[in-house]
Amino acid sequence: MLQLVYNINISGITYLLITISFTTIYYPTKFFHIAHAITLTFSAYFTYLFAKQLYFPLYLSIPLAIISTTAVGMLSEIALYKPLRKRNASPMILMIASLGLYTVLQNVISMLWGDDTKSVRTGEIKVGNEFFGVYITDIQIITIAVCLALFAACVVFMKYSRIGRNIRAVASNPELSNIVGIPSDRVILWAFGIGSALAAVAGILIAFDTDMTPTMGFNWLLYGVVAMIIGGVGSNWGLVGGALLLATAQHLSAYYIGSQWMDAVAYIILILFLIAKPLGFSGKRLKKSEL
Amino acid sequence: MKFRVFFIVMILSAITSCKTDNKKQIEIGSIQQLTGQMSKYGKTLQAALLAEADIINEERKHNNLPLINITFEDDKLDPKTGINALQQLIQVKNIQICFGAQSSSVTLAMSPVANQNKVVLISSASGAPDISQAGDYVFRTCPSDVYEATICSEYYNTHHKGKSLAIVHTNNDYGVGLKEAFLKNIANLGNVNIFAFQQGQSDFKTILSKIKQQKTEVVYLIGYEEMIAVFKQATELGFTCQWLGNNQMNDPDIVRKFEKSANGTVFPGHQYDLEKIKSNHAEFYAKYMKYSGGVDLDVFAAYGIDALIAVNQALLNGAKTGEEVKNELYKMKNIQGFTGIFSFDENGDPIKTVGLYKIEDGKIIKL
Repeated sequence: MLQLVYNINISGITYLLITISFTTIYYPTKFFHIAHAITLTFSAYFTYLFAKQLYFPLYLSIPLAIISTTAVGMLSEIALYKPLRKRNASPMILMIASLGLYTVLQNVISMLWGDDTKSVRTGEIKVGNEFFGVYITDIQIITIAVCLALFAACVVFMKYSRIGRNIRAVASNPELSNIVGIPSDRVILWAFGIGSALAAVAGILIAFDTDMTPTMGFNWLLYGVVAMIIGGVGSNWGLVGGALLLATAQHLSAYYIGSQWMDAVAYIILILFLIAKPLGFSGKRLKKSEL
Repeated sequence: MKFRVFFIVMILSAITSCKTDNKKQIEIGSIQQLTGQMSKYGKTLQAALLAEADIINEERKHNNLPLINITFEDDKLDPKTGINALQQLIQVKNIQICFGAQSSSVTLAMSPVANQNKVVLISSASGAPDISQAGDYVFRTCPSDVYEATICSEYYNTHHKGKSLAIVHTNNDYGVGLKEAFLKNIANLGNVNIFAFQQGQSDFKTILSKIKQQKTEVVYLIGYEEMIAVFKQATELGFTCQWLGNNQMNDPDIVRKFEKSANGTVFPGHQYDLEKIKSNHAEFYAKYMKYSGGVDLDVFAAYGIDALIAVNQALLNGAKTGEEVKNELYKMKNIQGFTGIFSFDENGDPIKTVGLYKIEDGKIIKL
């Protein structure tokens, strides 16, 4: 049973990092950046490219993969979303454009690296470290440490840094932000950069733990989005609750009903929250007065 | 006026060239998954068919016989897309023979169209029991799930009878079919726990924790590439049980990806010795590696070559139409394929020996 509790926590912590990365972009832009799923996937494949195909050491491959993935995320904002926003595209149009971008980039990955499972692991597969009957692998320990550290850093960054405050300002009212001298486009680009970098870290950690396929990002994004809807945008602790609730429901359903229900449970929770509590746990509606 | 004359000449020349092409070539279709997560098998099959067709065509050219031309279509693992692709090949290319599909669901969906149009349909990877009853024109060169699962259950009954058992299977026609065929033949139905998972799933930690908690001694695993994650996560959780596997493991590429995590796993499969194929069919393998981009031949691609060899033999025996090819396939005995000598039974299933194999240090060893 302790192993089950641990499994819930490791999934929950990974969902938390993905939901934070997604929320960072969603918060100021107010549209579903579906291509975020491919950002996550790209980071895994960039690591594979640098470490396994170009034989760079891991300490170099990982930062290079994060930088390249961040560039992909920021390029999508510069080349696609920003021009669409300039033409007053609605969030729905932006979401459809994002879906198109996701499909194109997923096919690019399939074309470049193939559809089969790829691995970035360097060592042999070995038995995890045992603590009180619970098996924990090295990469899972790293995942827990990295995700929690990035979560804490994001909370502090969004609250106290100038860029963080600007992102919150644009999220509250982009027009007014422009009037008071906060360039909303630049702030959104920053949000894409930070969100994509966080997704890159998540993608790399996932790839080290469960390998990679070109379609891996979509399910992880779904979990991140559901955790965000459960937790509510704008509340960090709400996101923690959302990620943990989703992971708990999924793993308990896998344990008691069957693992084929894990995705279905995520959708059921999503529907229930959309009907009963559309603003999530925090129930926080963004107010213009926040600025 | 000039334009009209030019237009008529163009149409006439197009018709004439079509006629000449038809005389020169035998059009064959091939429908498999060429995009998506499971497309690896579709792509290796495509490369294998192209390589073998090149060799067959060299012989045909030498003997002044019409050449074989294979047109490939992507079914995207979707039955409706498969049906559309087959109808299109029949109408546009006037095919009498079609290879495919790999997924049982797609083959079953295409079967009525093949039977109605008297087109021979030969699958190299559809294992569902229902394929046996899918009509006279439907054949396969891979074993039926029933046969594969029976061999596996016999192994369990002989070596592990009475031990606690878990079946971990992919939740589709293939996984459910194998699970049911396996369950029919095992001796201790009371001591079995069943776990299904979604195709493409990557997190198995919770079901594996439960299997370990239940002190399971034997696990029968049915899946595709997800098996890489299952073995890895089971090793990390300290599993020491006996694993039984499925014919999908008869693939050096996937076994290499298991590393040492699948050591000791026993699975049923046809004679498939990659090293032997490489040495006995060096010319084929060199061509195949060029088409596949360096991906090793898997067992399902080898079954595909068996299908092409059988079809070519039927054509050499004088069969021309789909009906004649069908009759010839039922008649032919001892076809020398890449996975052994085989014939087709009255259901279009292959009659050939299925053996047991074991995985040791990333290699497949015959038991």
